[in-house]
Amino acid sequence: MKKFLVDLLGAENVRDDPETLSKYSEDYTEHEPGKPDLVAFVENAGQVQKVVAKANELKVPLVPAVYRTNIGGLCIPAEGGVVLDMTRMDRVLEVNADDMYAVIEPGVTQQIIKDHLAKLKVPLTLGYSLAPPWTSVFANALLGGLTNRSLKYGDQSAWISGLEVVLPDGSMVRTGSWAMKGALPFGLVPFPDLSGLFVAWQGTTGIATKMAFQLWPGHPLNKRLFILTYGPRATYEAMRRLCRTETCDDIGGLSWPAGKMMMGVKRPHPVPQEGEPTFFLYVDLTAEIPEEMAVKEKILQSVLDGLAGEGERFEEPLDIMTLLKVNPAMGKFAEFPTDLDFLTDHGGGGLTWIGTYGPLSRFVETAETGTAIMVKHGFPPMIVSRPMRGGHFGVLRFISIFDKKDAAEVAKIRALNAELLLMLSDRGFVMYKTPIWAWKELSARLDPVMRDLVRRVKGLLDPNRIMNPGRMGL
Amino acid sequence: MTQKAIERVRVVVDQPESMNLLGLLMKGLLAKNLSDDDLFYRARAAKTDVLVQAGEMKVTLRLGEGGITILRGDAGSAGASVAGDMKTLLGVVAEGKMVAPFLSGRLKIGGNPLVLLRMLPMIRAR
Repeated sequence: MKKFLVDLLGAENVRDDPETLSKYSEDYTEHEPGKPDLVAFVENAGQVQKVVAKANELKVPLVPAVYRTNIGGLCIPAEGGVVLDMTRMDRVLEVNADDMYAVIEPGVTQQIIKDHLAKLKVPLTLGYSLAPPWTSVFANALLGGLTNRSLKYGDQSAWISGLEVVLPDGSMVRTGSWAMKGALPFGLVPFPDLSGLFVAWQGTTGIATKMAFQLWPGHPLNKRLFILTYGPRATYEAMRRLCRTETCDDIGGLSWPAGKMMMGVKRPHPVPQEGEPTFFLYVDLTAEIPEEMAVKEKILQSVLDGLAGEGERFEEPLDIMTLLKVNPAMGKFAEFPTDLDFLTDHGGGGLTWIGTYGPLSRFVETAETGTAIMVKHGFPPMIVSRPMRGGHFGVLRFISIFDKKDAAEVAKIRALNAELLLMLSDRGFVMYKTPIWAWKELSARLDPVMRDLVRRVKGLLDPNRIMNPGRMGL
Repeated sequence: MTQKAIERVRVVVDQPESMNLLGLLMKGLLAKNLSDDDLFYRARAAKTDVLVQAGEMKVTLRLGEGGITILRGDAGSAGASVAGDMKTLLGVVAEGKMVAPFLSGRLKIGGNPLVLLRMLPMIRAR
């Protein structure tokens, strides 16, 4: 395999030195390291096709990867093989401003697409995940991650309007309207939606090389407001009621440790201080004209007033621009994508979460229980949450930072995450970007026929089991 | 402002892992403002601590030789105090809005008002 790769890609693009292999054998998380045999850098879809065809012939595992920021250990090789690094495939191939879509390669980051749209001066936008600017838009969409526009438009996979995928036998398929010659990638209908064979499969069924996804109108007026609250009910009931007004572009609910860490405290005390707010909601409002913005702010205030009348406590909404004047550290929430260095550069190197999707009606009780579990294990209860798809469901994440070099702390983190996962699953929350260990825990809860169907589909597409083997119990 | 001044005037949070949100917000503001060391020395001339309260959060600002220490809660040593809800206090800090909130009762000041007048330039966002 190595000789083939060197002949195809050049020796400088095929690495098996210990430093490179070590780097690709782990990520931010506590997941067990897994060393690849080779790391190969590809630059175009034609190269990907040839590599996949050869790997299939030789039955060599392939692990597609870009920036490896998924917090699920999803690019750590479980069974060795070749990590296919696609970061150099970072071109925005098309922006169709009239029909509101873009076509991108896997290595396009949040910052690349943002800069590209700004350069073109098209009044369109996309959502950004709460992840660093160098995170791949493509990977987040393929994995069913979310963005700061998921309240309006759903998880990022819902924005995909066409995929180009290299199948495990080396052939290439297009999904959506794009499959028909001459048609633009405007949507996944009216054909059967074969994109579902590749979305949320963690690279176990094929390697996507191009993605068309929908862009959305940007608006000239934007406001980001912070509302300090004093408990989960005030936070999540406000979130739930605001969703039903259909006036907000984004609503986020963050627990107090997030704010403190952003302002420079590396490891806040697990218990909040007396009298301080325990959550803050941030609300994004957009409008075409000032009158529209004023109405939206009035609706927001009426929701808060209603809850205050029921005994919930809030501070008045604070404009991010005011907070920014007071403390420059708040700049991390002024504009997305944002550099989350307080999570990634804290000295210990470790970052992990249990991230789940679930019903908003259960957020209060689940957040309270998760908080108690984190405090019991000695970690500050950092919760980051959002409603999605108009409030039909939402994301609830329990995030921890830790010292990767401290074996005892790694063991504590594993115990914490295992307990959180079970608690969340018991309450009907479903983990996304699911790591191998969690998949093992959850598989017994899956409908057996669904589990079997997943295996059969995998076997049909990838009979030699070369695509990211070991993920999802496959 | 000189490099010497930056080294001289420091803002320290006492027990940062247990500091409340108000103290951490104040730290960022003071660290930015005290690059102008004159503001600090004018405030320090008042020779007393100041208590700041936003909602139920309290911090004590202690002006010492080399800078300011932010203590959580009421250290019991303040010669002056300022209190209000978070939005009102941020209005004072970010926009210098002090008179109207004071007259309406949203902003409460206690102790020696001259001390607060000396402090105000130091806690105004610029």
